[in-house]
Amino acid sequence: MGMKKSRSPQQGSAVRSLNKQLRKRLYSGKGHTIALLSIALLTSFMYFFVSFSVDRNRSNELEYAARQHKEEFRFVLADPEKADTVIKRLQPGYDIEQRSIAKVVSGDRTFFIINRPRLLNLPNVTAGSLPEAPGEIAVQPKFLESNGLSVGSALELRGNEYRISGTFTLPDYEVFMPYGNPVQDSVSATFVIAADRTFSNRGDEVQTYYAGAAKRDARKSEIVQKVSEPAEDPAFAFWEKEPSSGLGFRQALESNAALARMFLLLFGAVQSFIFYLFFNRFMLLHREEFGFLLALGFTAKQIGAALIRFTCAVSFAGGVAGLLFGFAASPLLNRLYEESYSFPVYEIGLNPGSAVSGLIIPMVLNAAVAAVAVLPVLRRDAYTLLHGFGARAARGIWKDATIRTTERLPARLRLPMRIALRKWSSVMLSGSAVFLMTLLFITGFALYRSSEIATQSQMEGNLYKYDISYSEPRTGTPENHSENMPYLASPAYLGGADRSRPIRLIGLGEGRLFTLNDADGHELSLADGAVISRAASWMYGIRIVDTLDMRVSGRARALTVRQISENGDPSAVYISRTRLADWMGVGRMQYSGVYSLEPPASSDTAYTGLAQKKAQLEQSAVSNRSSAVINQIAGMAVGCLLLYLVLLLHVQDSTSDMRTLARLGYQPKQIRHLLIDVYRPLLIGFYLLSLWPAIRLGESILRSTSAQTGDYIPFSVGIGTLLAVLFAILLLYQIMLALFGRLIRKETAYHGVRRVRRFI
Amino acid sequence: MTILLKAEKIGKRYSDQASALKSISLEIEQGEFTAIVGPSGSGKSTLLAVMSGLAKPSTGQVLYKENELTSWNAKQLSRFRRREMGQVFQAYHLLAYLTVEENITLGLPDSGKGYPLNELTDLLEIGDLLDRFPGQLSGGQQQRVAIARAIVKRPSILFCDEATGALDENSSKKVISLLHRIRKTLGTTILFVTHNGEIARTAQRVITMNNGQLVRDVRNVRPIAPEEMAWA
Ligand SMILES: Nc1ncnc2c1ncn2[C@@H]1O[C@H](COP(=O)(O)OP(=O)(O)O)[C@@H](O)[C@H]1O
Ligand SMILES: [Mg+2]
Repeated sequence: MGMKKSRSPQQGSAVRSLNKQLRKRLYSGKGHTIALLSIALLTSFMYFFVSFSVDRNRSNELEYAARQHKEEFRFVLADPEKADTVIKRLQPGYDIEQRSIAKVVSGDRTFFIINRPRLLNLPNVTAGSLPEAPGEIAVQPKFLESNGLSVGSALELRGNEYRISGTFTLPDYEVFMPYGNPVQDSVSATFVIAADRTFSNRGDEVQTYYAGAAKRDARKSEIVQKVSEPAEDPAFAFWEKEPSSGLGFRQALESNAALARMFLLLFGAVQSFIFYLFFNRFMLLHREEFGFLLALGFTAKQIGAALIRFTCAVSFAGGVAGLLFGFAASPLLNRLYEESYSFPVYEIGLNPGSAVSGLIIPMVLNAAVAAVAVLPVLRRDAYTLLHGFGARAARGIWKDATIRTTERLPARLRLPMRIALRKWSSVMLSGSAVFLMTLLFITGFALYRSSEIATQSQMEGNLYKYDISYSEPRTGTPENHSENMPYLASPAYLGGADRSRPIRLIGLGEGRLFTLNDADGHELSLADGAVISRAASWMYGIRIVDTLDMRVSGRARALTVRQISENGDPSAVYISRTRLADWMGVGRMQYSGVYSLEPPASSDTAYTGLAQKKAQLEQSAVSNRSSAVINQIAGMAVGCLLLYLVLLLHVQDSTSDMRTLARLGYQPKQIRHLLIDVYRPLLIGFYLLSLWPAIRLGESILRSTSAQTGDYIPFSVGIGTLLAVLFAILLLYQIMLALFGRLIRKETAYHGVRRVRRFI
Repeated sequence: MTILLKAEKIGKRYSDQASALKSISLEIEQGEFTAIVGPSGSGKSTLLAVMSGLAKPSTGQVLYKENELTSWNAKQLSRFRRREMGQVFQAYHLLAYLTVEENITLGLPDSGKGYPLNELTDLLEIGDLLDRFPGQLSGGQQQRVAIARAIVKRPSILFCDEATGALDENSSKKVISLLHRIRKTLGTTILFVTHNGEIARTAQRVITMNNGQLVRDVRNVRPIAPEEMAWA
């Protein structure tokens, strides 16, 4: 006999109750809440996993580039005598610096000695100072360490003694590589900075060029005007825009940033689609409740707001969780960078902009699709909803189509197939699950194999051991006496002025140390036109009989592609030596390099060993492999999630069917056969349908990445890959089957028992 | 007597079907208990839905206190539903995740001012159910909660569609007598759809429908008391 509680409702308590009901109704469906959360988490994880390892490193790299005042172009003058005039002409807008690089071989070590940069590509001093006086040099810290030296020690180079004034790092050391691709391992080969005039007049082989970059405060108009057509200008013997300076790292960062964006878009779209399906179903399932809430006088806005709040909360929570997981996983990628590139620091960090995009874009997208799914239903007549009419309308076309397409199937499959296909949403979902899995797997496998193929295609046909290049074309017998094959090379630009792409024109002479081969291994002739590698053909979309417009030595030339070789450099166009000699205006017997079986006799001559080239190629393989792994994980995760969702929705939709079947005396196994087993042929069907589009899309993804980064990432797909994808899909299906088998037994057990009792 | 609600030649067609309502005109007087009877499918529910503004008629119009209800926008309709009218359905439509008390507050207008909860729960004999959830109540209890929710705002008019359709004899009688008491104490106009002839005998006015038309409209000279209903 307690006192009666005095309760008095307050203002707005109706809306509070409404919100509570909707909140609980939404969150109580654990299966769908978890599925929605996971897809939000997955999207955000994929994006942040990559972004965390990219953002900070990217801004570090940019800041570094700005601080170092990175070289933007380089040139060699046609007439060194006129240096002053040409440089004066450029100087108002540009910083120009003469650079000389000497290659000094001392004992078993190779040193690349650079005159101290004072304007461009400033090194990072890590100890001591950069050399001032002749006789001083600065080396890299790793070199000091591995040789037991310290700042102030003396270093002997070919009989001369130098004092080590300090150490530096040169992350964009690639910019100082006019000799091809020396592998810098800090032990057998290293960069050294010397004070001015230490090496340039000592008879070492020195290469000289000018490096330039727009002055930090230069106005854009001035820049454009001054160097608009440098390739046309006869003053320059060689001109290169944006030499590949430390670009490896930047490119890796940039292509990964693009990958992150692609993930955000792709997964964001899938995610929104799932939210849309969810709300579509949710509204259908609870339409009577919504009709009633409308009858009570709540507005579409009030009800919709609660649903959209839920969407935002789930997207945001999933997003934040994905961000945290992404943060936790990002050291993986960061370590990969660390192993592949030389940069002073590798840091994990996120731009506020990325954080906002990764969290907000999916949330806004989901909220928008939720509104699209929800509001039209809430704008219907309350009465229509209350009585369960209307919401199911207009599916007639789909249903008819389903019935017609399933008519030809064997009877065993017809009914289950109709049940599975009756919802266009689950058909779309399973279709996209299979498509995405197929796409991501195929792309992943192709990426994984790409480095191998790229390496093979660039190594094939090479019988030489050394690629020796001279700084100036020469005539006469090459200095080493064993077999060799001369070639002439010239930088050239492909395409019109707007899209000029630097390439190397190579005029091959006679010899058998390097051949361009067709698929059957037959040697291709250069007699009647140009040959390009399959790599170049694929990356730049060049075909046989295409005409290449290019600029050679400042003059426009046209070349017809006659054949495509299986091997060869992806950035080279091969023609005959005589033709190139004519174009370059040099004698027909001149050559600028030789392929050889022996290293050059003179220690000053630059060369690239085949082994070095291979090592170089393998370095780029690391980043491709990492992307491959990411792709496959994403594929598996997406497939898991979507298939789970498909079967969950399907089982939920079919509970009443299941019970009916149970009442009719069907065993759980038979019910499973009727309702779930049909997904196996369905998934296989989707897989077969997905193959062609997935292969095409995967190929174009790799192709555009290739063309953007200049890194040859060939696409390949084998029967093994395709079977592996199918296997993965069926494996997932099997796992889901085990999961749902239990659910079916649970759902049907009660009715089975009751039926038995009634008959006892 | 004042006319509270008026239907003028309303017709209703659902997509491709024959007309559910065929040009019905009807006036409802304030404070009266009107029963609408007729066989299943005769259009009773549709008529109630159109007159309460839950469904739009295909032709004709409905006037509430001389305002054209059928031309109101969503906002005006919402205000009408929140403040002026109550609804009771055969399926009680209690919200599963809310307690009885919270379910009742759902019926309150924005101002929060309504029938004092104590009096309401005393009247409907649901005082000790307030903290329970709908799943823990019997059908009769649920319907009484639904009625409390419908009248907590002190509506001018109460629309009941087969409000006792799912209840047993005792519960039904209780609900009917409650509705009569509400009409008497609060002056609420009640429109009650039923296919039960006995319930109609308690009403002051009985409208019979068939095939989308009004076929009879009579006043009960001497309505019986709900307790006197003879249950089949
Ligand atoms: N939302 C709706 N959509 C289509 N037809 C409906 C709808 N509501 C009712 N009907 C049809 O309209 C006619 C009248 O139904 P109703 O008003 O529910 O009658 P009653 O309530 O008298 O049983 C019936 O033929 C019914 O099938
Ligand atoms: Mg009815």
